[in-house]
Amino acid sequence: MKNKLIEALNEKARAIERLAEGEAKTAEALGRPNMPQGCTTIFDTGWETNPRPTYPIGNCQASARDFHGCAGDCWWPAQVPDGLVNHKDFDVACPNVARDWRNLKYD
Amino acid sequence: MNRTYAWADHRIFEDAATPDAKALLFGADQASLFALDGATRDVLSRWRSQEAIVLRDVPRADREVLEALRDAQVLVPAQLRQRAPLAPIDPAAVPLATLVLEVAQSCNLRCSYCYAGGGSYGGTPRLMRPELARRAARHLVESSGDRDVVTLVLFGGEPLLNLAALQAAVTEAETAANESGKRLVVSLTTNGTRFTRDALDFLREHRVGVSVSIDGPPDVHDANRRYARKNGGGTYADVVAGLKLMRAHACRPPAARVTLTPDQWVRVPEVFEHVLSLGFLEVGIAPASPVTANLLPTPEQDEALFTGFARLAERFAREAAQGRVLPFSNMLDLLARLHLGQVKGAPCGAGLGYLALDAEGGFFLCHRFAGVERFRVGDLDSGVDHTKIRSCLSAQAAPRQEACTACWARSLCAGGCHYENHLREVQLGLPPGGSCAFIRRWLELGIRVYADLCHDRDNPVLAFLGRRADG
Amino acid sequence: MSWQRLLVLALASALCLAHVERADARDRFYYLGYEIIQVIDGDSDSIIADIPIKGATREVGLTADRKFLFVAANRHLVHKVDLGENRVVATVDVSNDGWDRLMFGFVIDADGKTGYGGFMSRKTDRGEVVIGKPMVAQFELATGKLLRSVEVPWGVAHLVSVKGGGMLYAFGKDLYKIDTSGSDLKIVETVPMFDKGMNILPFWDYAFDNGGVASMNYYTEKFMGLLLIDQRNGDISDIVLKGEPAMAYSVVLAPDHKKAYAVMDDLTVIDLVKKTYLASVPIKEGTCYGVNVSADGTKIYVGGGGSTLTIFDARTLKPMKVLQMASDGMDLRRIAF
Repeated sequence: MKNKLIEALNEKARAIERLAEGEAKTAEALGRPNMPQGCTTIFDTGWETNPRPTYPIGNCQASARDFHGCAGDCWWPAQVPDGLVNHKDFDVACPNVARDWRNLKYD
Repeated sequence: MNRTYAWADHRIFEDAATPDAKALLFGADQASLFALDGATRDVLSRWRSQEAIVLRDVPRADREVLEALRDAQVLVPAQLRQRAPLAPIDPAAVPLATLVLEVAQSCNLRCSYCYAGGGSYGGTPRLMRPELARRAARHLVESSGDRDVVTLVLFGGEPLLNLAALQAAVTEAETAANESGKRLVVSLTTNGTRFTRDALDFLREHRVGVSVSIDGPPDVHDANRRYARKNGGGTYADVVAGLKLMRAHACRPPAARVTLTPDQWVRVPEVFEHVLSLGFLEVGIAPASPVTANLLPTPEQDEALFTGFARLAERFAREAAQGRVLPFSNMLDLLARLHLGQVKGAPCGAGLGYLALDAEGGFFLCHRFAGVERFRVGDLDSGVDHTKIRSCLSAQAAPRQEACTACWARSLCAGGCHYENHLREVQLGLPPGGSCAFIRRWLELGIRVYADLCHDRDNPVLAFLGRRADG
Repeated sequence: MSWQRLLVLALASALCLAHVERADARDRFYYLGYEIIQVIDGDSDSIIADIPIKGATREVGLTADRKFLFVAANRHLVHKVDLGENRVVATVDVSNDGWDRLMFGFVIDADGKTGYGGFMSRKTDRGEVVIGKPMVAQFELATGKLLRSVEVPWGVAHLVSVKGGGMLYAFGKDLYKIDTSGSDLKIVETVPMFDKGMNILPFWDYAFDNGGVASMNYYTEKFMGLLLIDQRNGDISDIVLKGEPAMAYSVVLAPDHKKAYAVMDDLTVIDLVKKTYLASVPIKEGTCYGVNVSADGTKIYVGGGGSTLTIFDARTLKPMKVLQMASDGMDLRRIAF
């Protein structure tokens, strides 16, 4: 996506241009659907927020239903204990998240 | 697409002479430089007053241009527009890169504009003891963290008045650098009148980069650079003789450092031409710092200085069009930074990897501040005082914080020389910002010269700038 | 290839496969959870065994004799589960010889001696992190030792073994076909997916449950499609479904391969012949990752995500029973004995 309207002159401008090209490519591939395209684009639980008029209408799915699957493979690592390095086995305390999440204690 | 965008700080430079030519757009936050064609420029000027733009709502005709401006980060998401100010760089976190040694606080000249008070930086003339020079050299290497390259600068007064300490510093630095697997760069700034065979042999063998202070044709030079003795005469002839000696000893051609007082500024192009013709590698021209009130320029003199620089810039551009580099240091340094789009986090390295050490082993924020107590930041015995550096730097920044934040040139200037600001504001009681207009004009000149260069991407001058930027 | 031919082939290969199902075969459903696998009897629809296992269970590989199920967990452990004794008999770690590894995608060779995985790896060297190149590698199931490997662009998320293990289909940015038959692993073909706007989350493919056809759904900007991969010959059917896309994590084929069941917040029935959606019911318990179906096609099992397993009547789509499982789950597999 060569920007003919604006010509990058110095290295900084060229780097910015490359950034935009990189982002554009991703944006093209995923398009503009009316559904989430994958959790990793969203650092926010509640992607399950249901835009469709079916059950559970308008609500977030309890993120507990998705918790381990979504966090364990690092889809949205911001909301959970660091399962890659520091708390690799945090899920052992709550394999059934909806029932046992209170077992998680981090000071 | 629903996002609201706002204009990032930027500046447009038009070409008044040729209206059809592309306009230049400088991104103030990122030091990014773009060229805009006429149509793009028109769209931009129509939308520029809009504080919030939702791209989806922009008519098709203009949307493509605005999207391109978004991609250039000239339009940014509105919430990013209010950026929190960057935290100042922590001096303790920056390993030492360069140490300037005042090996001789003493000088055989008494240049009228000298900021070193005749070389001694106030106080009695004194020479650095070789043992201290060795300690200093070692300190440089030991404080350099994981840097691959360290730089030792031999300064004064006149450093060649103290060859013993100079040699001690260099040899010790070499040893220490070798031990740590680092590369050492050594430079020397001299008045050119004290070259001896021993000194030149040493300088050549240890690959010291030499900078000679010379101000132009004999009358310009001798007006200000005279011997210290009573009725001391001008030094031009001896400096030229010194240059001949350098050549005879197969030393690399030195760089020239020119200092001109305001009454001489009208002669900038002639001075440059003359000094260049003496065989220097590069010529840098500095307006004398206003160490006394009489060195403050009049508006006419300021204008003359700018005109002189502008003529040199034109000459640079003409040479560049032929693929040749005019070795005008001021322009080369600026162009190299523009080429990279380097954003200055601080106006210079003073206190942030760059320190000066006086003959007694006291650290100062930079070489110009040697002897100024307020800017003493530790000593070799007790170490560098990073807290003091922090407070010096923040005290320097404070008076101009607001003005700098609003200035389009902040990424290229970042507030200007601490010493200059100190002279003007503290010593002469002037309000801050006296140099800003000039600096902005000079930076704009550089931007236009650079943009011109970019017309031919294969120009070897661009490649030269890239190499210079890489250091 | 036409639908009819696919069906014939599917039935033929179903008959030819080693783990052909006897008429009186009983289904066992394996609920792959966290720190546990629970075994559900397909007749009584009750939990008949708990298999403690370390980690978050992910991909599985079934040996041809159906004696052992290899289970990948925590993205770096591989457990060997004895399906007769319902316990883990061995565990290996693919993070070894200095490397930290994350394995995405795991299949085994039918003999249970070696497996393949997609690997991301890193190590530290004098305080600096070293990132290994993303690769697909073959490793010894008994030791975890890597044998041969091939670099894959950007990494892969899922593997499907075809042609008796002679070829691997590796799903990453695109589909990479990897030839395992030579002395080295080699990418011999790249089937574009990214440039075609195909967005796929291919963790659950139900290959052995479907009788040797891996089923994965994908999305484009406009529709949901199904990729059906015949493990016998490696043929890929790309079935574009008409209508508003269903939201689904995974898809399993009905035994007659004329229908498919897809699951996320809803259980959706897909007509594979007409390539349309037939019906959809919400899952009251909430979102589920895994879906499976009884050998006779009468019951649909839905679970994973949360800690429930819901059994639906396949004809009426009414939920018949909900099992509360010991842990949250990921996948739900069917093995007939």
